[in-house]
Amino acid sequence: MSNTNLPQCWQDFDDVLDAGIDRVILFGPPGTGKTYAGLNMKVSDSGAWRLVCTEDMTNFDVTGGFLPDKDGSFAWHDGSAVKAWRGDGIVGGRLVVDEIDKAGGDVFATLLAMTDTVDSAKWENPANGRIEVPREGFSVIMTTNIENMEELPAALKDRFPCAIRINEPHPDALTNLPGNIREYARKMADAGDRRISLRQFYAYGQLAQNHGDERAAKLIFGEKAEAFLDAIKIDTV
Amino acid sequence: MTTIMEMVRKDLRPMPELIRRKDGANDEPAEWEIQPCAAERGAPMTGLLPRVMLVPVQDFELDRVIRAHEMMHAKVSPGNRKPWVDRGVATDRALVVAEEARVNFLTAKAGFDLDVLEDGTEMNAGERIAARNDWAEAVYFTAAISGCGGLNKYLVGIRRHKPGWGPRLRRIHQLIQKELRRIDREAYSTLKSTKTASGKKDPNKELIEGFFHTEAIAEWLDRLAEEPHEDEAKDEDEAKDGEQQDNGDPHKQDGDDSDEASVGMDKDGDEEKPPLSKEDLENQKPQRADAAGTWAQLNVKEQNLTRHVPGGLGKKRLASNMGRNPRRIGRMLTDPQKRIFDRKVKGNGGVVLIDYSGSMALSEKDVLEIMDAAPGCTVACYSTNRHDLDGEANLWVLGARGRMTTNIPRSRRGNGVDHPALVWAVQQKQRRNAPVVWVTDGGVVGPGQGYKDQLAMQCIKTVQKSKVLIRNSVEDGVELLHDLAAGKPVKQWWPLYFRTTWKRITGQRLDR
Repeated sequence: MSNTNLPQCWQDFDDVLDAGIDRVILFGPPGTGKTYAGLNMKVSDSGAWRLVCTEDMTNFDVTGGFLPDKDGSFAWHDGSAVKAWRGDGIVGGRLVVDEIDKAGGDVFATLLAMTDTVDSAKWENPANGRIEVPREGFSVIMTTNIENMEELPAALKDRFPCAIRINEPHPDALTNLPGNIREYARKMADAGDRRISLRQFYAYGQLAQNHGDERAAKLIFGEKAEAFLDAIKIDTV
Repeated sequence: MTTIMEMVRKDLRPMPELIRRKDGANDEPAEWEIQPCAAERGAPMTGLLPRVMLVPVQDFELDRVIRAHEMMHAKVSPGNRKPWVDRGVATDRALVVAEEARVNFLTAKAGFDLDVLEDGTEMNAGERIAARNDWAEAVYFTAAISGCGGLNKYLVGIRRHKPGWGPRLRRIHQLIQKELRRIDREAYSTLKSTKTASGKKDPNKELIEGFFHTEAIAEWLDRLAEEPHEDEAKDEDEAKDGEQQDNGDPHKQDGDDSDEASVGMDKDGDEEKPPLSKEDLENQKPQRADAAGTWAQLNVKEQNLTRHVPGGLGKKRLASNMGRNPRRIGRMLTDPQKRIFDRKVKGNGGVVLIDYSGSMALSEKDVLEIMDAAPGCTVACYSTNRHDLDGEANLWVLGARGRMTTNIPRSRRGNGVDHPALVWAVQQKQRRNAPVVWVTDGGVVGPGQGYKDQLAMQCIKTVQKSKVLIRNSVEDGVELLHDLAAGKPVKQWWPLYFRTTWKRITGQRLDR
């Protein structure tokens, strides 16, 4: 990702990572590329692992668990957090946790332990009894659509001192759109109830090429099509 | 087929979030607060900086055009009108209605049918305005609905009480549209531009290019809205023609109004003359936006007024029959009114403002002569440099309250603050009838700008309104003050610059 003329929110994220902050919350409207940025921006060569939290998920996804093997026995499989801790064996990787606030009690407690500071984080592998600790360079990016950070549990907020509201798509994500709607896609990313997601703009751009603006708007935006087309008319007068 | 109830139930909120501007407003992605309102005049509203829009949201054509109109405000109107009002070029009311005309013009240009833009109150508004004999509001309201479907109904309402006003108001509407079309046809038209004049992105304080056109039209409307001009004698024939143009059919289009019968009689049976003659209307021209300029901010500095000017306050002792100390006791016997006390009176004062730009030289002697000629007066000079960004003084008080400075500042060569200095001078008047004398050659310019008609017109209007007397040199100014002190009649003198500007803009002679 290039970082010339970045919007303020992305510039903030860039600066925070450059300064060595390794626990960051990215919040704001959906579809602005928070997860994509977590998985790709300033990630070490060790790579990044993603966790999507739901109420039904178990610690298997976080730390790992036993799975049946070919020969009828059970083999241990590491979870995303342990993989990210370990990285390439020398440098830790990046753990991207989507919607941590939606995780159930057990998983949430485990995640708190796995995202703790390097000095406190420690985990014993039940398969071989080895003690795992996060390698140097391990980082965590948490993403959420919650708008009010006060709604997050105190223990979680304490582990993530830096929270950045992402209110527009990353410029690199807009380059795949036709030039005439890029700015609109940027502006509509944070329009509350009338928000139009980047994915809708991708679809609109593709459809408009073959079927014209009006039909594309009707198919993609439904009832909002008239308002959208009128706004474009006014904007391009 | 969509039923009326389905149209009513629909919620078609506009998307002002999509609007792009160049002055920094609406730049950051953020949600607008859209509140539904009735489709009636005065209800819809757009607040660009707080991101609020009140619009009708139902599925009717009128609602849709109103939404487009408000969206156009979000696209081209300034975020804050105060800096424009503060410039003093045009009144707030004129700015509002001229902006309505510009927005309506651009909305029509975007492809919306402005003929549906009426709420049925136009005829009543016309009747009410005409019944109150409110010519100024008649002009402003014409501008506000120029280009909309309600114009003809409004003129019908006007004609019910003031049949002679109709042709003039229709012509004003035509001239507004003509001016907007002219601007729009220019090669690099800035009619809809939201670029700031300074290049800085501050929608709250900076002036945007497109609104300079609004300001120019507003200033012209202010001139037209002034109280009735007197040279109406030769206009009667024309008035009859005009009255024939405007009555009856509210759906009649521009230009096809020549075949209607005359109704040009008011309730008293007298033919109602329009307050503005056809000749005056045609002679008055809107200024060009490129004739707009800006003044620098006025920074006033009072020099150290160390030198006492004998008699500088013009104090006199007069005999009085009231007081505490009977200084004139001899009058007890000689004065039938027994005025044995004293009472002090000061000189009439006045303000002398000197344009201290260019090659103008100013000495202590000049200031002394002025203060001698007008005891109690305030003497000040002004000048600034090309950019005036340093915040240093550009108006110096050289004498006041019977004292003067011995340190005459050096000129900063340019003008830059002529009008703000003039307004300041008027505010310094010690009494209502104290004279204000402005020593200038009339070459008034903003910092780093050439001579602009708009700025000159602003000065001329202030001079006329505040009865400021202009002279070309300090010597002439002193002579004028002597004449005033002696009670001699004095005549206004207008610099060639001002006379030329006035003629160009109004088509009339300035000293008429």
